[in-house]
Amino acid sequence: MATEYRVKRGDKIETVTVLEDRGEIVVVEVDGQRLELAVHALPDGRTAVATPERRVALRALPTKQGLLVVDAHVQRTFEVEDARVSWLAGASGGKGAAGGRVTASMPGRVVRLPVKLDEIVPPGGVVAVLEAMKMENDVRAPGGGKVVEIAVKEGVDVESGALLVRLEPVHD
Amino acid sequence: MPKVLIANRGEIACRVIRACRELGLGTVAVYSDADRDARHVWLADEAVRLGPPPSKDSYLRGDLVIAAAQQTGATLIHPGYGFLSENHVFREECDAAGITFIGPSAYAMRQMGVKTTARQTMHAAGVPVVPGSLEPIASLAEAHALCEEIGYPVMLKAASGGGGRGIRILHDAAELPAGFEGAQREAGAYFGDATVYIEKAILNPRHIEIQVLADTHGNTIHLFERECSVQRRNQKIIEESPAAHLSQKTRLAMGEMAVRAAKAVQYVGAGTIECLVDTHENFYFMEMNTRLQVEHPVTELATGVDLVYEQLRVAMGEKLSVRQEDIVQRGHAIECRIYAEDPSRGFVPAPGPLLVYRPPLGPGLRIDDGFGEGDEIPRFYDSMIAKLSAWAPDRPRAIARMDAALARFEIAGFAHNIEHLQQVIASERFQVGPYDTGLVGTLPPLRTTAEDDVLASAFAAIWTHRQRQAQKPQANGDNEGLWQRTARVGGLRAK
Repeated sequence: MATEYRVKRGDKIETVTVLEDRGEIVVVEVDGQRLELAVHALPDGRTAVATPERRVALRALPTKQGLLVVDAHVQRTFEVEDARVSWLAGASGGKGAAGGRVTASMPGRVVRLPVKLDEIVPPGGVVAVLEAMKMENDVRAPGGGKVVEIAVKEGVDVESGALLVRLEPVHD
Repeated sequence: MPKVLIANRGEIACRVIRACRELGLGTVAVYSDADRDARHVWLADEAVRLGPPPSKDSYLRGDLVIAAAQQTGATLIHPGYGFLSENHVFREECDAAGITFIGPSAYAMRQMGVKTTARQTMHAAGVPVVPGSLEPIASLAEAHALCEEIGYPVMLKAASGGGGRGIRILHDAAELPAGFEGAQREAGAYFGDATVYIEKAILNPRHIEIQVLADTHGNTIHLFERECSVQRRNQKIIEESPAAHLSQKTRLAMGEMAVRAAKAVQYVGAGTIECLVDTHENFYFMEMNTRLQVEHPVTELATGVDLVYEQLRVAMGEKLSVRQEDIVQRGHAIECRIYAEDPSRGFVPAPGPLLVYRPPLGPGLRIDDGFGEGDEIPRFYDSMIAKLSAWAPDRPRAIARMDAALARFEIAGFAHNIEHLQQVIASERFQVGPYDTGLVGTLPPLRTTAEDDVLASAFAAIWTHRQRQAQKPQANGDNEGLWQRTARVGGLRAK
């Protein structure tokens, strides 16, 4: 079964879909580009990843900052999340964040609002927790900012796209 | 067999410990609390704790180092470079305690330590110094007359200054009055000594240095030059020997000059005469480093002489194992210094855990390091992690060998300068030359490796995917998917 991941590196977010994992051959789609990769575990812990044109030996190391992928001495740190979970949570900094408005990207019940008016929320900070289909999902404010409006109350049901919290950028 | 205490840490401590072992000498390491598990500690026969992490409480505490030597019965101290290595007071304390300091006399260290004294001594010995004043400059009128004589641009320097501080460059006579007064005021404020002197400014010079060795039997030899013009923030990052684009005539003249300079202060042990060289190959004495240099491996590779071995022999009263006529430059050697620093943010130090560390091996390669995979690079000391050196029969092949070796150097856990080193090595100015100390500043911002970005992103997803698949409990017939699992765990948390 295909699984979609949101792969974030710095400001860049890519959608990587693992279409098929047959062990030494993995078929993925990276932002719409279909790739058939030869994937082979090396004895030193690295993984050889190859297309017909290019072959690299990569090492994956989970760190506090995210998943560190090392290509010899080139270091890339990724945040990888399951796209289904991030879609439910409206969490991934895409449409939920425009203009300082944090909105619900799915219908659900507001179970917690961990922020207060005038509070400064760091980038990626949780501003609401929505429950949908028996799952709690953190709703994050990708850009951060000062809370200037809390548009909902705990316990209410909201529709997809409903405004939850409005933030204003903080200027130093 | 005598015991040597190594009053240092990191790669140089490891280098010296190995040389001692080859000679059958006992070894004592010293360490701060930050280095308790460091490689130099377990490499030595014995180890003594000095104190808390800051250098001033540990590696700079000469009294504790001497006490450690006495406690373990070490009769020699190798200071490495940095820390106590050029401290003539420490040298005198070693003498008083009956311990052999592996290095020159306190007299030689003092003569070379104060810049105006060194200039006078060298000038008297017939060693060319940068044109300018030998005595401190007392008045503006005196400064004016001298600047007219040597020609602008000039540098005003604090006589007691150092480390690149207390220096002003003046481009013409109009800048002199304010500049002179300002330099005096600054020198007084920073160094407690308002005396200044004047040197002709040599803009974008080459930085070429000569290695010397001297024993206590009157033998002083040179081991030719090292080109050290690849610098960032006034610190060297790549060195090579021989220098490319230096005539044999100049090379020999510089070697002869270095021997004369060392003899002028009755130098003993390994030392380096640092020179500025202009575009016409005029060379000027800049300073003498009265110790082993970081970049000594390129001389060892090019001449085949083990400098630490010679230092230890000399300290034990023996003659140098080589004579001047034995010293020939063979092939070409390049050294790259690997630093835990971020070239994209002005080379700021980036300490951290050495998550991956697998240096390249192969013909003609040498690695000098003091850390291993899993070690933490402490934030208290120099950010140099390792030195990678390559030797080959000629310069183009040495460059190719270094380039290939850097490409397969596996290292991760913090920002480092390997890509920056690759960029310098690949630059036309470095490969074709000649280049000067302005080289690093002319390079464009680092290239990106966009080509492999897609593969890395794909791998990040595949790795995560497989981790999640592996976590699924399937053996007992439980085919719960991620969806269900997240729901179940979330539900449990809610309770």
